[in-house]
Amino acid sequence: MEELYAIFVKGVRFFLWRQLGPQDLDDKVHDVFLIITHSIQKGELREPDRLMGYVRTVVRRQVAMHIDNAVQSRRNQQAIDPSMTLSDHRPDPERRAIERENQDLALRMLAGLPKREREVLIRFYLQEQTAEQICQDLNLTETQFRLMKSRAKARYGELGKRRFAQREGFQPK
Amino acid sequence: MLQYKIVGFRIMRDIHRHMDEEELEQYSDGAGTPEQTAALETHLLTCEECRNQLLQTDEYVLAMRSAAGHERRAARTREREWSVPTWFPAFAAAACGLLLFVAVRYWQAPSLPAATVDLVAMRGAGTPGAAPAGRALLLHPDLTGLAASPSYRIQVVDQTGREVRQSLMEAARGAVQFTGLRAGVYFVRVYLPGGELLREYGLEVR
Repeated sequence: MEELYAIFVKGVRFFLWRQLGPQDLDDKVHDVFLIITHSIQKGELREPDRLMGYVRTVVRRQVAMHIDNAVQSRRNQQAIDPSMTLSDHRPDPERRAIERENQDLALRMLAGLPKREREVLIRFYLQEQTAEQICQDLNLTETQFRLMKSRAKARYGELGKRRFAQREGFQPK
Repeated sequence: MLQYKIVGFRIMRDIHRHMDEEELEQYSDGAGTPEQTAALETHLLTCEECRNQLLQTDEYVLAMRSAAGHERRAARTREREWSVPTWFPAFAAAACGLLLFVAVRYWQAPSLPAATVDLVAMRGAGTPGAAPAGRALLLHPDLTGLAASPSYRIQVVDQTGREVRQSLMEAARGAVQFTGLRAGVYFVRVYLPGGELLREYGLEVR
């Protein structure tokens, strides 16, 4: 059990944190491990090869369940209480500051690129055009397109090297 | 059955392979087939390196979207600010032509020396001093008999008494220069620096 926890806890926390945010994260991780342990004890999981896939499935189901619960409770509150409390869904000030910094980095990186490469990135990230469409419109090969994207990302990484510290939000306490 | 085993093998192989940039971006975007997503997520469960890479990719994609939007808006603003009106080239050409014409005329015009005018008191039957119009004037007022002063204030007024030129003249020099006047009758007045009017001369510019 301890070994199971040691192997999966970071990954499970990561998924739950990424999908549901930091609220009640420890409880959610605990629930996932309870479900897995019960399943193993009940003999529902006989093949060790399938353990990783099973853990992933449990995490996915838990995420779906939490989202469903949130939707249900919002719907119920709305029906009962017309003066329901509205949550502020904006990111917290620290997160906003980080996002602003990241945007500045990306702007600096974009400003340093030739016009054509900038156009490629704007089409891809802003207009969400497909790689095929961009390559066709701008007469690029797929390799050139990938290279442009890869170079841009590397340049962004260089500019923000110091800033690319690991986020601690999903790490176990 | 064989097909099932092959897919299963591919998934198992993918589970232990690190994600490349394209896969990270695809996953971050929520794109990709369910099989690919399953394999990537299973790998992510146990690979810290890929989890960190994914976080960086999430941030990068978000930053790029936001920066690309910003850049596109800024480009539109720049286009609006710098758009040249259709009439501007014709207007600019006409303005340049006019400027060139004035400049040529100015440089070609001969610069004449100032005309010297001796001014005598106009009391009695004296005729006013005469000077050419539009040319610099070097006025020599007759200071004989005036209260001694190191300098005098010289004022030029038109027929209505409106001041048109004014300057300070050193007594030792005995002359003062003014820029050209239009044709007409003027009066040149000499004052002490304190303000006391000493003398007045007539000046006809033609």
